[in-house]
Amino acid sequence: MSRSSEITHPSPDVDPEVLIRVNKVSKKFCRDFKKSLWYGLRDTAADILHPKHSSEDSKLRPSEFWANQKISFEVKRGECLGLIGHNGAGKTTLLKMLNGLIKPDTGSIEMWGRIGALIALGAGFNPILTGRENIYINGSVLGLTRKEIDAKIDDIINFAEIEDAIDAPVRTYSSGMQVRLGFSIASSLDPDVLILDEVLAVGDAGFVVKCLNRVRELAQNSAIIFVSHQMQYVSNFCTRVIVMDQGMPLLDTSNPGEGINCYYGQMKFIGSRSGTGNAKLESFEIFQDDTDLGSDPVINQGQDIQALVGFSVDGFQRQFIVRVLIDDEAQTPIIAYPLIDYSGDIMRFDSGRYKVKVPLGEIDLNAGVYSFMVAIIDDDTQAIELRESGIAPFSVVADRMMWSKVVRPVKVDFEKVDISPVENV
Amino acid sequence: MNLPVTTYSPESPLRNPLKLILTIFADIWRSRELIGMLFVRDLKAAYRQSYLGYIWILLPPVASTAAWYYMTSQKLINVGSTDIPYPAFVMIGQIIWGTFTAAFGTPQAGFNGGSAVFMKLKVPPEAFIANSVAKIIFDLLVKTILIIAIFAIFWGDLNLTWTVLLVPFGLAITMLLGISLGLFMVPIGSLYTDIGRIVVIAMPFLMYTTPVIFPLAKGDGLAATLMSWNPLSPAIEVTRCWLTQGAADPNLVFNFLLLIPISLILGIIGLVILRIAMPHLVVRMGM
Repeated sequence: MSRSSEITHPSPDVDPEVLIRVNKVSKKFCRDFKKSLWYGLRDTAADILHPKHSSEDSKLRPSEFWANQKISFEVKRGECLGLIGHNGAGKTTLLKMLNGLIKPDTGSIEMWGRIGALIALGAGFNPILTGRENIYINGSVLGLTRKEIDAKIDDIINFAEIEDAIDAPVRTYSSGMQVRLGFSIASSLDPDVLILDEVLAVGDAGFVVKCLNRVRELAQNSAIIFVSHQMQYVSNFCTRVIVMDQGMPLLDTSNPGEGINCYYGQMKFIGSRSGTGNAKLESFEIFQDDTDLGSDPVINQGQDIQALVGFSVDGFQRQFIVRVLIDDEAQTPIIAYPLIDYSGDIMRFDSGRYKVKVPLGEIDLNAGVYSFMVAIIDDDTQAIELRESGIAPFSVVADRMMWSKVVRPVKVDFEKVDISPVENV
Repeated sequence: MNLPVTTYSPESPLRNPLKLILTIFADIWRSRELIGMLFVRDLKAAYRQSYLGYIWILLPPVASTAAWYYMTSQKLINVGSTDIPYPAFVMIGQIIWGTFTAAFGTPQAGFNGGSAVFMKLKVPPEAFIANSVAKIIFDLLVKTILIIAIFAIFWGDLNLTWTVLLVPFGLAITMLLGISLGLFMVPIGSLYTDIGRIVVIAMPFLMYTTPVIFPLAKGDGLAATLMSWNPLSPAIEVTRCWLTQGAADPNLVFNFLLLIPISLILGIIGLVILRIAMPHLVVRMGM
């Protein structure tokens, strides 16, 4: 396919490095399924009956909305553009257009060279056939010729680490094995343009590292569009980040850290509260050196903070214990703060109203967003009187994103035990 | 560096119809290895969980021939007289008719079979349709066993002449017509399941107005009129004649040959419409 003659673009020769050019691309979708079918039929008919008619269509029909609106960017060889945003932000729609599966309603997409896509790993695997047979079919689906597959098949099998199972039906594979095989086939292409969609979200840790290295290898020679919800990958790979929100680019930055902070900033904590009603959380404030940090504070990694927790409990001759935890953005508990008294026992509260100052210590958490969870429990029956999560969300910022939840820089002493220089590999 | 450029824009691909047609055929040609692999894949997979295997291709025409033979021999129904023994008439009619219906259903079947793939990856949907067509040809080759059996049983009543060489040609035209018409159903049939249901109901009616089970009706009754206008009548009548009797009625042959340009034109239009509809279908089916 070549460019339509009316649109004049600078030829790629002017800037030979640009491999992906997306120009004011928009796409509309329909919320109502029946209407959407009807629109599909009408759009097809319009394409057939009025082919010369400009189909640049920037008006919405009833029940339609913009799934993507006015998106423009360029990606050069060796660059990796991270597309991040929450579910429903329009990433998938954009990827489908980049893949040529659906066409934009306005604007245009141009790509130069061979296009590879690491999405839908293993699409078209037939469970009854063996892994080897499926390599040929899947490779062929991805545009490899039989000869090319013949030349690559040993590498593909080795990379997927399924030598023993390669002649068994794919049905007998674990889901991890299927993904490994799918990735191995898809990544054996040498594309100029590479589209990656959440491919690293699957598989065991060991294989993920292999995948990352393979992607890094491919990245040196191609222009990459990378979609992931895992910010460590984005931070590690991307030279540029676009944060999407409701189909529109919210931020376009060549500083991935800034993009990631913006992504986390968009995050809405949906708190949840449950319990018997005998206990109530009245306030939760975050302090740093006696200064109230207000709501949605930004904390530098390694800072010392405190919390002032106000609550009330009600119950005759009963005692309660209080738990404070820090949750990450997926509301997975990261740190628990058991409240203890001076003798080291768990602190017990009678009924009444309290304000408790909790020293949270040094926040050595990875960059990201966090929130608190408070639980108030009857010491005797262990009944949960109150459990409230998503409290006082805060973000932690750092120069670098780490692969762990907790980041603890340490000073080290060392001595050189061997003076002979290490050979460069 | 001169890299090939890929452009996606809102314009209708029909702006340049000739280029669109060439692109479609170039894509099919480029996918020839894929088509071959898909064909082998499906063939291997289809009967791996079956004892009788390829016998399942033969059983349907045998069973329905047996049923019709039973009904006519017991005088439950009267189909009138046929030029060749009735079991041979029905069996061969069924095989040709079956080729048409399979061909008619093949674009939608191939499309559905591949939709999981081309809703996610950029693969020409025609490859999956072509794979389905290859499957019909394979089935047909298997069914020649039945034709040989018919000749063995009714050797004295059938007349094997040089025209038997025209039979593959006749079947090819029948298939071409089926595929061309079937292609038209895919865009609408993929959006609305009503279409598939209508086809299921309408097919038997079409069969009864085609000389599959009943010989060509004569006179000017409704049945005769329907049969004479039915484009499938010459396909079945002529092909069966070539196989079992020799040269066919020149009028019917002429009508039959007329189907070639009609099917070709319809087929190309069908392919073009499918291509144009694809992105719209993916939005509705694959998101």
